[in-house]
Amino acid sequence: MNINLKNIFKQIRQAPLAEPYLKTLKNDLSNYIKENPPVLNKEIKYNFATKLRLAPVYISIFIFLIVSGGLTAFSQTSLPGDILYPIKLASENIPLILANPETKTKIHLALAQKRINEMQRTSNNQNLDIAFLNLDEHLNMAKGKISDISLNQKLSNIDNQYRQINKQIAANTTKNINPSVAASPPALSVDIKTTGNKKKKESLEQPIPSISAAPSLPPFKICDQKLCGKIQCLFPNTESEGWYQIYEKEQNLIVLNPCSLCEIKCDSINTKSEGWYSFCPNENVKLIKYDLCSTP
Amino acid sequence: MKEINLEKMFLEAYTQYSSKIYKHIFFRVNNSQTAQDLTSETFLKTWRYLREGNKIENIKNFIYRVAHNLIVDHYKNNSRHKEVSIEDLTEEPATDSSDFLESFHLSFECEYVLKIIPTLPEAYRQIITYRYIDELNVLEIKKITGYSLANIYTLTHRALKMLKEKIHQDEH
Repeated sequence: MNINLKNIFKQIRQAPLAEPYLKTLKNDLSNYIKENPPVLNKEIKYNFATKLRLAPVYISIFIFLIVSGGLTAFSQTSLPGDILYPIKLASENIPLILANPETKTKIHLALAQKRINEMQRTSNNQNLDIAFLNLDEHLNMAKGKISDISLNQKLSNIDNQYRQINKQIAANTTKNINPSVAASPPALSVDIKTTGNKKKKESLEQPIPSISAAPSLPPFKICDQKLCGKIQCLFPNTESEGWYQIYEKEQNLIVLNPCSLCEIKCDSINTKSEGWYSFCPNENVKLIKYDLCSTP
Repeated sequence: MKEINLEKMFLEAYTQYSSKIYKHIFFRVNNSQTAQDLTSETFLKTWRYLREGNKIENIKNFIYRVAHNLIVDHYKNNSRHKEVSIEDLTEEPATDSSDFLESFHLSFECEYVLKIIPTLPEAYRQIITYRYIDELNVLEIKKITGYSLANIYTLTHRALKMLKEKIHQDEH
């Protein structure tokens, strides 16, 4: 038997299989369509299949929440220089978003105190940059908004502690830079002894680590009204060269930086950005410290 | 307005493809009753999908795809539970595919080939149905079944070879 498959398939294609059934089915379908017309506004049915399709999204959100929550919780015990420390700082800002102005000031002070405590607990002074910036920020935000006397007292306490830490860091930095110089007798006390003024001698013979540790003294011994609280470039052309804030008995290191050719000015007066800025040749203007420098 | 258009479009698609879909399912499952059930289920599913506002790019491919999935489900269910038809239970004569085909007054040769096709493996039966009964091109088959082009060509070649061999063996 010689079979031509092409012809056979053609015959099958043309055969009217189940025509009566298909006509009945068409009528049934028409009735079904009338009973079940199209849904005009597509209703999103949260059935099991939809939930199953959204499962990866839910799982991702759950994992993200667990990981971020865990990291935030772990970061709470971190100190400046730790990997998790920036997360801790970021998480601390969340309550500030929701707080009212009075509570915000309290939170800023509490956080500033926290920064101080952290700095005191930190052994490595080189990792304190972020903590310093954050502390400055909190203090600036709190300053000028305090109406309560007790809060004002707290602010001044924090400010004092801040200065103490600055002093310690300046001392440690200069010691680390040149131990031989740090070990040498304080130049200031020698100068005072030669003056023969007993009263001055008694008052100034107390240990002043930051000054005694400096490789070379600035040209002044006691800052006068003109210089007090201002920022100066000290120890030019040494490893301790940088910007220092001058006080009556001490100078606090703000930042180590080549500054002999630069000028410092109190800029952006009466704005939020008021502070000390350095103007160096061929360099952009740099912020050295936020401060209410225009007020005497 | 949109409602009427959708209904019209669906019924037009039914007129155009119902016979082809029925034949396709019949050659795949080799049972007229199952073919009728699966055909109606295919069009019901398509309408349910359309009425919910879902868009279909190619209605022909979509209907074939639905039919394909239903056939696969049918085989899966059959493999789990051995089917006992109503006809067996009521002891009425079964609608055998050979009886069913005789009612269409096809040529002797045609009936002879149609009796051999169900003896082929399912994959070969499927590809012969798509290529020669439904006259789908390889790209359409690829979209419906998800097979690669090389796979489709190989399957077609082997299916035809086996069909010819079976016809040849029967002759002797």
